[in-house]
Amino acid sequence: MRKKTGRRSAAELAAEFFDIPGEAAGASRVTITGCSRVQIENHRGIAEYGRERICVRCGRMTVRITGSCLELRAMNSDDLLITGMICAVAYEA
Amino acid sequence: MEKILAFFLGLASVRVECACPEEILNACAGAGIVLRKVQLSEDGLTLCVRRRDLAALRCVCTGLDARISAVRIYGVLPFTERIRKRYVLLAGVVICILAVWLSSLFIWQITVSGNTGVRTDEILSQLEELGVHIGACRLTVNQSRISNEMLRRLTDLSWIAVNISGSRAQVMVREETPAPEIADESTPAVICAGKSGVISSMTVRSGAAAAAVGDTVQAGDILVTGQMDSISSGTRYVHAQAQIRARTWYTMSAVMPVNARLRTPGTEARSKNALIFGKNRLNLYFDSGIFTAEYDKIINRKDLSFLGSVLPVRTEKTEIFASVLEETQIPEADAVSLLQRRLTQCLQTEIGENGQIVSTDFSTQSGNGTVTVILRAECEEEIGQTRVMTQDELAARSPEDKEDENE
Repeated sequence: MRKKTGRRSAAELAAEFFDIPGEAAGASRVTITGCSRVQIENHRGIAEYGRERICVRCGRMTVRITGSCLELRAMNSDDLLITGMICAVAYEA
Repeated sequence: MEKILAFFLGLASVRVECACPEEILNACAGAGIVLRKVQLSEDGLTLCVRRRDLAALRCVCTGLDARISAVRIYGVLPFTERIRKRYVLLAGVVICILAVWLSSLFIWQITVSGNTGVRTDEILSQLEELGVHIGACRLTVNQSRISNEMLRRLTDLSWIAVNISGSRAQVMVREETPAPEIADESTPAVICAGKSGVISSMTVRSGAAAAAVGDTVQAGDILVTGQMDSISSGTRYVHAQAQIRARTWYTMSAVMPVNARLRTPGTEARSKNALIFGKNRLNLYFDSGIFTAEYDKIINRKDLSFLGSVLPVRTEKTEIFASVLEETQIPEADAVSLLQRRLTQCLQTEIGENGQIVSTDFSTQSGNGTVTVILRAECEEEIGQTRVMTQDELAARSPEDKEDENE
């Protein structure tokens, strides 16, 4: 039996069908600049906050950012910016 | 841009003590509070929010049993709000600005440039009589009238300009070039020897030569006469013109003591300061500052300015250094060398720019604590000097003319 992985919402499917940017459908966008800056749009809050690991909820998945001297440079209801020495950015379902 | 705007509107740096920082962050985001520079500390968070979000942050923290401490508000608007009630400070700032503006209406510095023969203090004294002096109102200064009046008073000047810029008055002058001496060629004149010597070259342009190359002449001897005899026209008198160069000899001596007292710097030094307001002086010391009989003094004056405008205040710092007079002996070689240079300079001044030093011979004598250097030099220089013919010279005519008159 094939294992179902990552069911997408109807909004995401509709955005893909009509070739609309995913952010309009509520998908999160993760922008990584070099190894020192990560910007996440359309986030759903912070699950874990620390100097070596920050986990950000993005709907159906969680973005885990690991590194050192991590700092939440700015945050509002939709976007957040994390800076520091970033070693890895991982997606967790 | 957003950072600049946030700083302008005001930011608050807050320390939040909480057990679960993530809840605080999510709650602030959900309440629409923009968080900046979030840093994790041992017992909570340190973050920056906009000043207007501070009340909302307090509500969020109260709901989550978190405690806010160490609030610091900064920014342009908060700063202006804090000083808005400080009336004395605002009044002081306004008074300072007014004082600087008012002081810029007066002249606090006058500089003179371009003068070489006319003294600077003479120019300044004349300007003071015309109303241009330290502390004068620049609005009352009529630059063109002052320039014309200064040219009338100081005849050595050919041009003068008084430029006033802010509190500075710059006086630029140009002195008159003296007119060259024009010889009156209609007046009968002879050329005499100004110095004794042996004629080495002679070029006669007008007149009759009374000496020849190789002749030894004494000072005052007539070298070229203005009386010219002609068979056809008789005797006529002209303005003699000639260039006569001769070999001349000079003997000069100079004496210098070898024992001298030289001033050597000591170890002690003191300084004293003073403020000068226009023409008034305020000493910032109570005594004269002189602590020794022998001293050297260095005075430094500095004009104060603000945003390019000269202020009516000048600082003066006087540094006094103790010195000691010590007896010392100058080496004879140094003294001889110095005297030789001085004698050569004097000789060159004596013979002028057109003169040439052919040979020099120095001899030295020392004794009784002094050194004497004697210079014997041979030079070649212009010795002719023009002199107007006297009435006796004009009356004394040649014998041939007298015979012609009798006939």
